[in-house]
Amino acid sequence: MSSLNRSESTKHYWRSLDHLEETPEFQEMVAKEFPAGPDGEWSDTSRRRFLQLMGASVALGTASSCRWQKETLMPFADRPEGWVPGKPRHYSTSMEVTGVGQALTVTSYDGRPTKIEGNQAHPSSLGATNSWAQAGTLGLYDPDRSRGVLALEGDKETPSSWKSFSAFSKIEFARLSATQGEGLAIVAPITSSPSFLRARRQFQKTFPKALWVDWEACSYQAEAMGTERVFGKAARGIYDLDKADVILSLEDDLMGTHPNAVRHSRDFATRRKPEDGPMNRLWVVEANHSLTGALADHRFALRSGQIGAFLVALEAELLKKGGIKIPEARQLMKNPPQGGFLAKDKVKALLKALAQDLLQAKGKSLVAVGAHQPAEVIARAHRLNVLLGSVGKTVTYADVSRIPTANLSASTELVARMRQGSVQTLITLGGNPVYDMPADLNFAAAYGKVKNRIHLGHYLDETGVVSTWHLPQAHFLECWNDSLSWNGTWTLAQPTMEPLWSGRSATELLGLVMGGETSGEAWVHQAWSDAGLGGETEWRKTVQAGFVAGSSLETLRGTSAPLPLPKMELNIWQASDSIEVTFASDPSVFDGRFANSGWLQELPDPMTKLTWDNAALMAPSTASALGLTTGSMAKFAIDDRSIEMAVYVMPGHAQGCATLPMGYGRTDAGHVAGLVADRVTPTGFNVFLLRGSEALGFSLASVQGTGETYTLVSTQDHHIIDEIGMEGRADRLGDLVRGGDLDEWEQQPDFAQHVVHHPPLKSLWEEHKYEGYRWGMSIDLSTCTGCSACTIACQSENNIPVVGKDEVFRGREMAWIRMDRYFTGSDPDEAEAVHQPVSCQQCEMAPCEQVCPVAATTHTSEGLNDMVYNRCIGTRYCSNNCPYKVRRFNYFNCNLDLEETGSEVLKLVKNPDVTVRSRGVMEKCTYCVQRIQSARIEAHTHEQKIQDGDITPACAQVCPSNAIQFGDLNDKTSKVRIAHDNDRAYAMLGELNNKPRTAFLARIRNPHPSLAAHDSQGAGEVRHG
Amino acid sequence: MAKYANVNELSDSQLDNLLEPPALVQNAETFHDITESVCSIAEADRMPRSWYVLFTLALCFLGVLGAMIFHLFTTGVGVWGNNQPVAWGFPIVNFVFWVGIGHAGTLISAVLYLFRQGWRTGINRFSEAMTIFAVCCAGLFPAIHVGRVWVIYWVFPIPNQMDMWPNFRSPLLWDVFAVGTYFTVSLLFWYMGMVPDLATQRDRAKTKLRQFLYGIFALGWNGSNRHWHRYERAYLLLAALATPLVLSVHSVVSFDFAVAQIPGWHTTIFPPYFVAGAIFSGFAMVLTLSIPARALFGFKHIITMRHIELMCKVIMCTGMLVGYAYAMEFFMAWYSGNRYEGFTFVNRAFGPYAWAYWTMVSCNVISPQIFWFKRARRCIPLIFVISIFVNIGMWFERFVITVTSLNRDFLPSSWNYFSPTIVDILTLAGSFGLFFTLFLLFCRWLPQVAISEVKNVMPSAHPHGNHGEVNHD
Repeated sequence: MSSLNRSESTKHYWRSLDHLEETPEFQEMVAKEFPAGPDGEWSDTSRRRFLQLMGASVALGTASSCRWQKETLMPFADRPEGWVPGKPRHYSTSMEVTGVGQALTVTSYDGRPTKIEGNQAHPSSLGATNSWAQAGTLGLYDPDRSRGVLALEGDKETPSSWKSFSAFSKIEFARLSATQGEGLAIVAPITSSPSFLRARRQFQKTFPKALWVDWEACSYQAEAMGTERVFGKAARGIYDLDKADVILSLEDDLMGTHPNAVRHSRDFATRRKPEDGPMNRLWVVEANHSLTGALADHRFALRSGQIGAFLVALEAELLKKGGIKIPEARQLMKNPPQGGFLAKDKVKALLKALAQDLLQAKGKSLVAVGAHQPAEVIARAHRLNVLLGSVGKTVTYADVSRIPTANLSASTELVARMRQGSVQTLITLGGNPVYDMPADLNFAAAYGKVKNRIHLGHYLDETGVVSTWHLPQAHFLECWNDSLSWNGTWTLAQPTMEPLWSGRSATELLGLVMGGETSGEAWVHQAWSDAGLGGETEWRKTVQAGFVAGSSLETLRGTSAPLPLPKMELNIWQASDSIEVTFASDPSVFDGRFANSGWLQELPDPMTKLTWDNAALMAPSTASALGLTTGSMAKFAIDDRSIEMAVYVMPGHAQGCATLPMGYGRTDAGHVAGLVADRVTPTGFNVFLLRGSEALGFSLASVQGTGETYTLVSTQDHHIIDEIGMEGRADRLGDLVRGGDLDEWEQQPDFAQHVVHHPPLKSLWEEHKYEGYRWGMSIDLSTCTGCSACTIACQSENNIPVVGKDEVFRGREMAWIRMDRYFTGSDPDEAEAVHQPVSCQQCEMAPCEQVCPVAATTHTSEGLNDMVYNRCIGTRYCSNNCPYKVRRFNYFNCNLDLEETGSEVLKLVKNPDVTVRSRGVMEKCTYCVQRIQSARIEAHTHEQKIQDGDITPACAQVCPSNAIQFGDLNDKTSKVRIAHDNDRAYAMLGELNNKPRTAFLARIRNPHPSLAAHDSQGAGEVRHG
Repeated sequence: MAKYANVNELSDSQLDNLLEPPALVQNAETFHDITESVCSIAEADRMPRSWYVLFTLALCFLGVLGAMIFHLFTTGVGVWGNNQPVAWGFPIVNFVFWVGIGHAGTLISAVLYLFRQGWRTGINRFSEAMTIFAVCCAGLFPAIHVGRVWVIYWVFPIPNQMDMWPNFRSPLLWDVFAVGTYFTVSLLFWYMGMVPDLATQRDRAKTKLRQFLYGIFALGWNGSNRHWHRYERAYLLLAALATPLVLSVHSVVSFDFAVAQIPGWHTTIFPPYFVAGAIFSGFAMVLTLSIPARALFGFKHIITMRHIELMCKVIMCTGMLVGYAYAMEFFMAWYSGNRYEGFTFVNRAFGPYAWAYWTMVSCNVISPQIFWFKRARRCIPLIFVISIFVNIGMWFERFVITVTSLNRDFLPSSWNYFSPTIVDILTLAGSFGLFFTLFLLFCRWLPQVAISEVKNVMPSAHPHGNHGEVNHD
């Protein structure tokens, strides 16, 4: 009996009314030892039941402890040889996007990759990368990545394991192999991986009747079909832009979204510095205003559907000049394309000059064409390279017939079979077909009819949530893989860490379902061994280097066989609600696969400067004819498919058409890009709902304003700039971004230094003498492509937080280096664009330093403008006084997400050498002071001075076109000093007597002499101020 | 001894016409009348009903201020609309606004004292109190606007283990000293001037508590000749000390802008322009406060129409000075030939913030012009409205200077529009709550009019006729 019942003492304490009244219920409750427990659970436990439970407990206890047996702890008292805790290690690896590998070098701290750089030795990288690779580390540590195998049924997700999946697959695939794979289908991503393709061949041998579908939204079959007509096999043009004197891009974003853009930028840049030899000339014809268009010496905006007609007209012009021999010449000469847009004087002059230029540079010219163009146009453009004798000189064609491209007919076949119910098992090897398949196929509906829907993916995405099995995919930094880079170099990928969430690669999954080899390393190693490249030593050397040096694809020589004429679209758009829409990959999120990366979402589009959204891009005149403006919602419809989307007015866009970037409007991407189930609104608009299988590149659509508006958020022109603002901007632009034409430079190489004249700048005090190092930077505007990889590289290196759409709207983005984009020209429809990366200029007489009341920003003895975070009290005065507005303020604690449950993994992405800033402090570019310090330590150990090239800030390291130089200005031989001494060098706002440490080199363009009307940007009259 | 039944029942013009030429104190024949009418307020058991209404309202706003500051401290300065490039928004605008208001007090007390302007006596206590409370409000904003408020003490030159001094080149640091000095001197000046009156209240106090408290603050004043002598000396010295401060505080505040190199800020005209503006807004605020107060507490015979008329003249004069400064800024922007400077001013007047600019011009330059007319200077409702206009206009002046210069500076890529958040607006409203709470408490418990000084300017203080104005020595 409980002691409570002995309440005979004078004072009676009771704990409830029941107790006071001594009700029978209370008596019963007291009698029980576990009052809250389920009734009868323990009271009548039999001996048998007791032993069952105890037995189960022991078994469970033992089983859970078993999990940890595999792990070997290594105390650092006995650490591996050569391993210094806290000292970074570098590993070669690679990342593959749409079948093209990008060679990388990963910096890893104590087994934790934190920074990605390009592989310096690799021919397609030369040390640089694009922004996607830079954002790779954030993708690795994304807390939204799937964390284990899930068995799904309807809305129910049951955590499962690889073990249960293998148990399932053993039975299922044994059954399937008995029927040779009848009813089995695979949707595979586009890959050039030799090891994967080997596994694929083996798989197809095991399951010969299985339907294999290659699918990716931004891979185009037309390119293979087009090149086949000229080269006999599917071919790929490998351009040597450094050898080409004249380049014509027909809507090919060579320096922007092209898979080989990194190498292109480097090669292109070598021909854009007037002092380094003859400049090349870039002609661009395109619908959207792309980065390549912004770099062009002559750009002509034309609808995607008219590119073919332009090309034929160019051929006719070349024929007229007698420069080339075309098999169908007679036909073409008899009936040359004319009328429509070709009747414009401007186009006539352009074609004439272009033809003349191409012929003059015969053998040193190059024609490139966008992969989304129809096969006839692609074939013609590449044949022009054959005809102009460029093959083998400025371009090599490589046989890519073994590398799959997206197969639309197989996709259609698959959906048809699924609908019939003849597909029982479907494996998606990493793609997201529910999201990105052509809308008219209605993949999602058919998918439901498949019994076993197995999805391998990084996220529980749109396809994952409607699958029966969701398997976590290993990130490229977690698994073994290989791929071919654009030029065919066999590039390896080695993991830099164990998979965080038990992910596996596509090859490993194939191995698993075949019941064969499941180790990714074994697959890659085997593919390498099969190539007969050597033994274990060579293997190790290859892994260390990250690629097989000298490996390449077979080259092809083209023919000048006659080709069918492409569709001749000549008409000039008349205001109507029918316009052409071009489906484009997005520079930030590509086809949506990078959507859940906060860095990439917040990375401003290089041309529109939009963050967190996509928008339908339209020419100013087209938009106004349709009654639309930036931020208006418009309904686009093709057949019975329609989407509503915000419009962005893009100066320089072709008229009568719109560019719709894909990859947004994800409903199941994650907490960054959209997760409807968790009430996270998707960013942007899903263009895939409009894209049909009849035309993946571009198509006619009807467009109508809905009358609604949408808040688009950009980092520049945050609000629509009024008349006064535009005048003021135009007035000063020439001073800020200086540039001129080549002949101007030839007449006066230092013209940029004479744009602004000011009285001699004197100091009020004796300035500091820099005896040791004097750090400085230079940015060459002539070679900068505006790709914005520097922004992401800086974000990754310097732990810069993501602030979100609302905060960007408020104007509180945190980027330390931003890419300013300005449009020039009087006609907005024919505007040209210039880019200027701006980070802290590290002024010698820094205005920020004077005004800080607590001396939190001060000058170092080597001329850096330091920011002392723990001294900063956050008055923001420094930012006000900064003429370049490069200072960024932590208005909130921007790193709160690190504390959220489940998001702790994000902490791993932080660079341990850089402080994570707290709320209320100012921050800005430091010239990567941590890299300076580590180079100093290194030099000190070797008892020598820091040599030129020992320090490379993150922005300079990633820059594909080598536009950024950094080093010691006191060293007369350093690259940065040579750049500062260049005639083109100027100090932006130097007249303020700030003495900035970053010099800009004026941008030089090389327009065709016959097109003199070309308006040069800036550098007009000299201004005295 | 003639007794007037109730002076407050007479209209202003009646009061005004009773004596010709207008005397500084009207309808109060004896010193006792003055003492009575001032002290009776603090001694009354109850205040007029309107006082309670106003005080409740003020307390509510003060509560809002507290809530906003709590929200700010727990979340971060991002709760405001500040952004890059407009890193200074409402808090700094409010700071300059309140500091400006805090100017009239010292000006009236010290400068007019030194210039022997006898008419100041009716309003000086009032305006000094206003100064103190305005500076309290002003001091609040720079303190809370910093990102890391918990280390705000680093702006003071306190010896510390880090061996770090503040940066003496920073105008913000000069601000700390200027505003700190101004607050200290104003407080001393106000308090010292109040000592004889506090002694009067002590002597008249009926309860122990009041006797005790007024006794403490009266510092043992017994009205002896020696006390009066030293008091007058000290008052003169403090007045001499405070006079340069009138010029210096707002000059230094203007350095926050003028020393920076942002176009629209970087101008040498700022110090005098700011001082004129401060006097302008200070007088407007004195009017805004004294017009209701004189009606409410029955001071129409002490703060007379003549006082009000004189203040209207000061407002008109300083308003034109400010207008001249606006014009001169434009002229210099054009004359300098500096394109950034030129753009800033065109942008100010015709850009996205044109509405703010023209609000400022209409309130500050155009509206006081009506005071050219004597009838306008004597029309109490009109004067009250104009004084409110000037307060609004002067707030907008600071807004225009701070925000429109920052929102479009050198690089067009950074241009952005600033719009305040609800927290910004509530914090501004809350600062009025703080001001009025303090002010109403002052009205309740302290002598609102400098009794001893008013007595000094009464004819009975000069039994040998009205030769010269006031003579203290």
